Amino acid sequence: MDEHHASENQSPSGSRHVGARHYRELLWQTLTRQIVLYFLPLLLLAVFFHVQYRTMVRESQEAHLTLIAEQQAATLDLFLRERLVNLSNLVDDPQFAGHEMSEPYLQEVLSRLRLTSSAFVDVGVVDGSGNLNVYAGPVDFRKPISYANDAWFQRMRAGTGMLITDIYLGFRGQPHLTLAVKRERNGDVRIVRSAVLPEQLLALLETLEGAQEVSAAVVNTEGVYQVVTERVGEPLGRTTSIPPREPNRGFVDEPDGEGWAYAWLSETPWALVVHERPRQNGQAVLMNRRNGILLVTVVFFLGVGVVILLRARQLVGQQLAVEQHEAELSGQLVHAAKLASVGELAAGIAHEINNPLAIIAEEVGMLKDSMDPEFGGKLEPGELDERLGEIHDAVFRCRDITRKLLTFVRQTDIKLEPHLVEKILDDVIGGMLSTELLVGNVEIVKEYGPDPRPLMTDRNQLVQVFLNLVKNAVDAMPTGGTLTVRTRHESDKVAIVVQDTGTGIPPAQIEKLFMPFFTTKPPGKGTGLGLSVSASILKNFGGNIFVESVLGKGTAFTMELPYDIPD
Amino acid sequence: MQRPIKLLIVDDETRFATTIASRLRLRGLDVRTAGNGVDALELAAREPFDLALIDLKMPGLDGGQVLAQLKVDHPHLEAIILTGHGTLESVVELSKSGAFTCLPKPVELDKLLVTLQQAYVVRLKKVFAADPAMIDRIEGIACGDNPRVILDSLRQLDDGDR
Repeated sequence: MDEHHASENQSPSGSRHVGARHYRELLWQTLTRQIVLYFLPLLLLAVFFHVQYRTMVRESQEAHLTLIAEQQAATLDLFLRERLVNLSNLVDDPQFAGHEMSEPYLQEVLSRLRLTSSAFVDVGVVDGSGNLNVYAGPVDFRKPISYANDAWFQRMRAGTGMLITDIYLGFRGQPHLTLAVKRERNGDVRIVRSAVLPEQLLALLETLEGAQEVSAAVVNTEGVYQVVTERVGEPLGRTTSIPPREPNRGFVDEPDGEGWAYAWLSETPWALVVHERPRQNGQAVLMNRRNGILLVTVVFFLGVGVVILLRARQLVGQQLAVEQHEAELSGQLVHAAKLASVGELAAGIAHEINNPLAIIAEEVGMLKDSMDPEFGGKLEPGELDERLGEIHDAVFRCRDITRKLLTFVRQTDIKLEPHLVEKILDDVIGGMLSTELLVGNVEIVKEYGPDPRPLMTDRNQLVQVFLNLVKNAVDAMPTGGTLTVRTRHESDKVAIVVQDTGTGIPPAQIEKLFMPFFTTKPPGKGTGLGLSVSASILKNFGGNIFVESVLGKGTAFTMELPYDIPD
Repeated sequence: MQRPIKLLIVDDETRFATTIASRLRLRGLDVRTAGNGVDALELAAREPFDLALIDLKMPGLDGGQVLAQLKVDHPHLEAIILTGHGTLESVVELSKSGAFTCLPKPVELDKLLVTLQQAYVVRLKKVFAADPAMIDRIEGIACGDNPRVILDSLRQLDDGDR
């Protein structure tokens, strides 16, 4: 925490920049999460409902068109059936049956027929050979007319009692359809036929309910227009919309999306084909409605977006507050830990220094006693020297402690230079400690790894670490033994092992090993700072130290140091 | 029944132990020293001690363990603990396990003598707990202000058998 504050004080702009970046990162994270959480389901829901709505509208439109087709087909059916009935009634009238056929009489019949429906244009009587015997109507036939080769006549001759033809031009060169009724009496065939112009049918289609919304046309099985408005096509023109025979009513989907409904008539093989009439203003209404929905959706999503943004900012604010609180808390903990370790250190120092001080106090007291007349007042020969020597030793015990403590504290004047650890180890073993190793009857084995690489480090501090470890190893082997020094160069760090064949360390003491003032050596021999200082130095260089020990077999200290010191 | 007060000093700092022992001998005490807890317990088993001066921090058996064992073996022995730490929590714990008191290292000899004298008074009172007349005499002697004189007078009361 302190360090954090310190760096903030040194470069306030830098830390503010880092803070702003952190804020942005957090905001983006939160926004993304919120969008995924809220927008995505909303969007999916919107698409789902849109598709549902479209399908529903389409289905209802199909149903509506099909209904119109059915109604119109039914109306036409009714109209045609009525006309056939009119004609049948006429033929079955006993007066007509028995009457001599003449043009004036037929004129009279026609006018009566036209009273029932103005759709009848003319009336004619055809004999069994297809010759038009008598005719009353607007067409002036100059020469005798024979229907012998006409399809409808052949159908009649084949047995059909009454029929309705498709629209055709016929002799008069005008689109019309023919109704015909056949009666046989005493082997004498008489067919009464009447032409009907399609205008009546067209008018029927135009006046029906819902006719304004649609374009209706009547087609035959070949797709030839029978009854059609000018908008849709030419009479007797051909359409591509040929309805299927089965089912006899329904809806046909076109690939371009514009489908049409149809319904087959029952009186004659005609079908009513109903398209939705494309309307300029209708399209505009639809576009307006679509734009309206789009606008509402956009506004809605914008609103949700604003809410999400506000919420995200709020969440990020809370998150930052929590983080800051945590940082403060952990800072306090670090500070508390520091205080605790300072306290431990102080207690350790007190103990280690008080012991030599106690010796000094007693030696001085003893000298005073020796000179006190009460206790004889006489110094033994050599006593002064001996006691002063003890005082001297005790003073330098204190000095050693304070000096080592300083290495703990003073870590500023470090000189980083590339060094080979093997070289430093050689200096320590072969130079500084050679006499001690010789006297201690210690055999040295060097196992330096291949491909040595120099290390960025402070030579003096590393020497101190190696000195501590080698001295410990020698002390652990009071009757001599083997000291193995091993190095291994890895990709990012070097491992250094100092191994002895000494007494080993009891497991209970292993965990205290790196604590300040912990020592297994007799008073005055060790300060208990060697390993803790070593560990502290290695930590400063980004390294670490481990210990493995077997009682009675020996101990191995493994150090790891990175080639480059982390920041 | 003229018998010096017997004191056992236990400290792994042997130079400190021998020097302070010499100084206390000059002041009339019968002092033995031990360099560790095991030696101290062996010594105490061989000869009785009135008082003990024990260093707290020692390798092997530490001062607390030595104190506890001594109090078991010799209930009337009064022990003073010496410590270089000067921390209080150990003092509380040690007085629970029977220490007379704790003194910080280094200790002034006069202060040590006063403490030894007080501890000896406590010991005598325990020894003669059933004898009110004796308690009165002990208290009368303990009123003086020269610890060496008091100790000298008191030791004449102790029959040394307990």
